[in-house]
Order: sequence, then C-alpha cells, then structure tokens
Amino acid sequence: MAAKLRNIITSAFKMHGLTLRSESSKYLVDVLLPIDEGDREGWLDHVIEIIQKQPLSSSMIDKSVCEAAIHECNQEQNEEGENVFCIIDAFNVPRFTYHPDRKKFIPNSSLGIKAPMLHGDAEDKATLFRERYTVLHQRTLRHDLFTPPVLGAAPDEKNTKFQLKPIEYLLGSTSKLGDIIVLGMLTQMKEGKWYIEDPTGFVQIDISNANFHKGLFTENSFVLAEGWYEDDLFHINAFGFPPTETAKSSRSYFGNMNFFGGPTTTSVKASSKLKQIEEDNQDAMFVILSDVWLDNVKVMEKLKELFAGYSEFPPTCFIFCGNFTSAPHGTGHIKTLKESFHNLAEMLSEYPHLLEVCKFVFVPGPQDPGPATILPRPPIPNCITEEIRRKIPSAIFTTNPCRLQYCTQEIVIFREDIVTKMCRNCVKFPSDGDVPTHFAKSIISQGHLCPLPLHVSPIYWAYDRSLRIYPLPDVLVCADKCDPFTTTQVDCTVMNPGSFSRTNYGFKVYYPASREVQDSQIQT
Amino acid sequence: MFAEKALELIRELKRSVDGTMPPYNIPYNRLENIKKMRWEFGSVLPADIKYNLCEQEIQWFNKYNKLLANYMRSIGDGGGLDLTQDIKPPKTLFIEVRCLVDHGEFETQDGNILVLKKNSQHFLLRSECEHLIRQGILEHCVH
Repeated sequence: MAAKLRNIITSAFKMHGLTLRSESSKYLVDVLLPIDEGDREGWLDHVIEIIQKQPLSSSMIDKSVCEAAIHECNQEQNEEGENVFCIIDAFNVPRFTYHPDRKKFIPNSSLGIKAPMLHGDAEDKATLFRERYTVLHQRTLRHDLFTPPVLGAAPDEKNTKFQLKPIEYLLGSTSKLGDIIVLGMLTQMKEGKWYIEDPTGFVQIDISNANFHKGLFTENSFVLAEGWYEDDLFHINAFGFPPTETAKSSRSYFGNMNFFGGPTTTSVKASSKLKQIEEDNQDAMFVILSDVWLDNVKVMEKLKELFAGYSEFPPTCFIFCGNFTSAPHGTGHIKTLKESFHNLAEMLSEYPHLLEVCKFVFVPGPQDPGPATILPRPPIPNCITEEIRRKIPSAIFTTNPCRLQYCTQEIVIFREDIVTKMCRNCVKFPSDGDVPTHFAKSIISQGHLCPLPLHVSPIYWAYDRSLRIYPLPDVLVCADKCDPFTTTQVDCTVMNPGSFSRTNYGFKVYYPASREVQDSQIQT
Repeated sequence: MFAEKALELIRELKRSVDGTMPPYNIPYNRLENIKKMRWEFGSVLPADIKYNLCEQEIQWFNKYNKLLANYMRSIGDGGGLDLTQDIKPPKTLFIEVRCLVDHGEFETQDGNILVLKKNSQHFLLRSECEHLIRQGILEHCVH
C-alpha cells in the first residue's frame, strides 16, 4: 500500500519536473496515507501547487519544503488563520532594491547587500536619495504621458507624449533648449539658491516664474520640472509631482511579492481566504486616538467613557498614538509615564471583555522617552511598559512609524507633526488653504512619509526604507496635532485622527469591511 | 510608416551574416526561449535566469509547466509519461555515472537508497539519473 502510494507521489512530482528527496517522499507518504484513496489525488495536486508557488532554488524537494506546504494546507482549512492581524515594526520591513535593467524589485538578501546598521556610513546616505529617485523614476516612466508611442500606431494629436531628460543632457548642451521635462530633487546647494539634482548631475534653476501644481513642494522632494534651459540656468515654467499609481497597478507589474512585511511570503492581497474573513467580519473596527495624555485627569475620565461605551461592542483594535504625557516632565518623566500606564492598566482591568477581544497598539510620539527624534523611532522602553504588558497581554508597544496588516488590508501608522513641518518648509505655500489635500498628494506622490531635508527631520539613513510607501497601503494614518481630516486619493485613504486631548476628545474609527472612516467625539 | 519599417528590416536582413540577425519580435523570441528552458532545466529555473524574467513571463512559465505536467500525466498507461526524458533515443538502459558534488541520499524507483558522495561511481537507470546529469550533479562516464 505504502509502496504504491510512494510511486504515485514520486511520479506526480516527476511530471511537474520536481524530484523528491527520500526523506521528503517518506514524509508525504505518512501524511497522505490516512486520507481516503479518492481524495488523495486532489490533495497531492494541491500540495504540488503550493510547493511550486514557493521560491525554490533547485528541483530537489527537501523535507522542510514539504512540511511548509503541508502546514499551509492545514492553515487553509482552519477558519481563524494566524495571519489575520499582524504588526510589522519599522526595523523589520522587507528590503527590496529596484533593478533598472531587470525592471523589477529584488530582495536585498539575494543581491548580497549586507544588513543595515543603525548608524550607517556615507554610502547609506547616498543610497537613501538614489533609491527614492529610482523608485519614482520607474513609476514616472510607466505613466501614459511618458511611455514611448507604440510603433506603427497612428500619431494621436490629443495625447502628446513627453520624454524625460536626465540633467546631464542639459549640462552637455550649449544652445538654448525649450520644452524640457526633468525628474529631479529640489535642493539648495548654496544658501538661497535652488538647484535640481538627479543621479547624473545638478543644475541651478530659476523659479521666479514657476507655476506650482497641487502639493506641498518641500526641499529634498522629487519634482517634475518643465521649462527651458539656457546659459547654465534652467528656467522653470511649471512644477509638478511625479504621477501617482494605485497599489493595484504597481502589483500588476511586480506580482505578488510581499512588499509590506509580515509572516506570509506573498502579498496578503492574493489570499481569498483572508478576503473572505474580512467580508464576513462586518463589525470589525479600528479606534484610532492620537495625543493620549495619560497624565491628564480629564483625558483619563474621557478614556473611561470611551472604554465603557465600547465594552458592549468591542472593536478589533485600539490604536493609541503618543505623546502619552501632556508636557515633558524633565527628570520625573519616566516615573510619570510609568504611573500613567499603571492607571490605564487599572482602568482597563474593569473591562475584562475588552481585554479578551481587543488588541491595544501603542505608537510612541516625538516627546515620549527614547532616543532623539530620529525616525524610525523604537518602541517605548520595556522598563516603562513592563507592568502594563503583564496586565494587558494584548498590548503591543511598537515603533513609529509602524505597519499593521489586517486581513487583506495594509495600514501604515505614523505619529509625527509632519503637516506643520511640511507647510513650514514649503518652497511656495499653496494659495488655496486646502492643506490636507495638498499634504496627501505630496506624500503619495513622493512615496515617502517624510519628504523633508534630513536636517529638518532626521532619518536613520539605512532605515529610510521603512518610511517609504510604495506600493501604496490602503490606509495611511498620519497622526498630527493639527485639525483632523480624511481624504482619499488613488485608492489610498489618508487620515489624521487629530489630537484627542487638544480637540475636544475627537478620534477616528475605521471600518475595514466597508472601508469607511467615521469621525467620533466624546461629549464634553 | 509600415513600408519604411519593412524596408529597413529587409535591408538589415540583407546586411546580416547568418545567425546574427537580432530577433524582430522580441517578446515572442523570449517566450520561445522560456519554453525551451522548461525542457532543459525542468520546472525550477536557476535563480540568475529567474531574476531576468518579468512577472508576466514567470506566470507564463508556471502555466506552461502546469499544462505540460497535466498532459504528461494524462498519457502513458496510468502512470504518466515523462516527455522531457530521452529527448534523444538512449543506447543503453543503464549508464555509469560519477558524482560531482555531495548530493546526499537518492532513492531509486525500486526503493533502494544510495548515497551520492563526491567522486563515487554508480551504475544507474538512465531515466532516473538523466535530470541529475542535466543539473550538473552527476557526470556520465564514457569509456
């Protein structure tokens, strides 16, 4: 019996061009033997299918690969998969590098790039800007306006095509060039003088007559500049941001790679099982609060009301963003914060149902204890959170920014007063005051959470990748102390829950099933 | 415009020495090469080749692989027939092979297990070790 099954298994693998090692065929016989004879073939096909989806290095199948496949099979059967909810901290995001010749993203591990260091070297700083550029450059080239016309197609008067020029093309020219479009980074090489830079060189620009499209144009952001060039000076007619792209179309180019992070090897978007769970779970919601001053009596009272209100209908997850204290308390800061967390744990222990069902995610703010305000920011130190983590096992203290995967949805949470900083560092502040739309447009076009000069908002060079948002997530929570807003652009919802403690205890609730965001407030 | 392109192509054809003509339809040419690779390398492509294929090509390769596997299982008497074997008619059923790398345990069709150690020599069924030869694990000893 077993020998016959073994023959069936090996020949099935052989037909798919795979060879089993002897220990793996033994393992598969053990697994498949108890199954009904009629169902065996179906299962065998299924196992082979899963094995072929995995990134194999040779056609010899090890036991470990088989075990992983069987594990995945079993997981598909389970109603509650393990991958429904997952927090990915900023230091563990997957690392990919865009390869322009191959036109695809390749994991750094297979390119032999060494693991990042917290304090990187000069090379890391150069890579930071170069990689931001290559990602935007490939996205721009794929846009309809910049793709070369199809050979033989009738020239269309309406759809004029543009050609991106590198900056060395300008520098190498002695005559006047008109109608030039360049993708580059805005910089100030010399005090007060603006330059545009790309990997091939830099050129001074004249922005006195420039027309600005939508968005907040900050120093060190990447722009499409259109204008004419003469005598080492590039006269700009118009500035625009590189065209955006929906996450769906990015994925259609790069396949089911998991750019976001988490336990699965392929993107969660491809999982029909998770999609099903998401649709079945109509009541799932995320309660998002920012600036939760736990040392403030009034705030604690309101939190109590909040928990009491939700105790009947527990949400999937509470997301608390810092700062967790109203003011820096100097030397007593850590002690105050410890006591505040103690009070919060005490308060939550009155709602055992909430503790059982919900997750509590804590994202540190700029004033919370930890290293200087360099992004990404590590979680609040364990010595402070030890007690609350013991009392509330579902409390997760994570980094800033962090990523959250729920079923097939990807959510990025970022706590930083970035809107104000971006407005302050604009080349030209937009005349209409619709800051949220401009802000959302800027970070989505830049594919980066913090398109600011490094001296304004420092970033660990080697960890710049964890601030990038390409392909775009479904939801982007930019917790800022300015007024709350919600806006949706290219299938990405950007929201700011506003300051809970400053703006009359307002917060946001996100419903993943309907993808709706609701403004909420606790009555004063 | 098409006439111009045609003229250019004919000129190029006339100029080129045999076998140096670049493929005109590059996607189709690549596709044919990918198809050929399925027969040469088997269903798992070497990593360096895989990196040079785009997502759609990989998907196409997987689909082709599946089709071929289903077809090969449907023919032959119940057990299927591996068409990628014996592309040229074999002269003998058994051949002598030498191991080039430490490969570990290998199980033959009759259930015997032998250890493929570097520089060891074995007398094996040709059909079983052909794919190992193609992968460069074994070497055919020709006397």
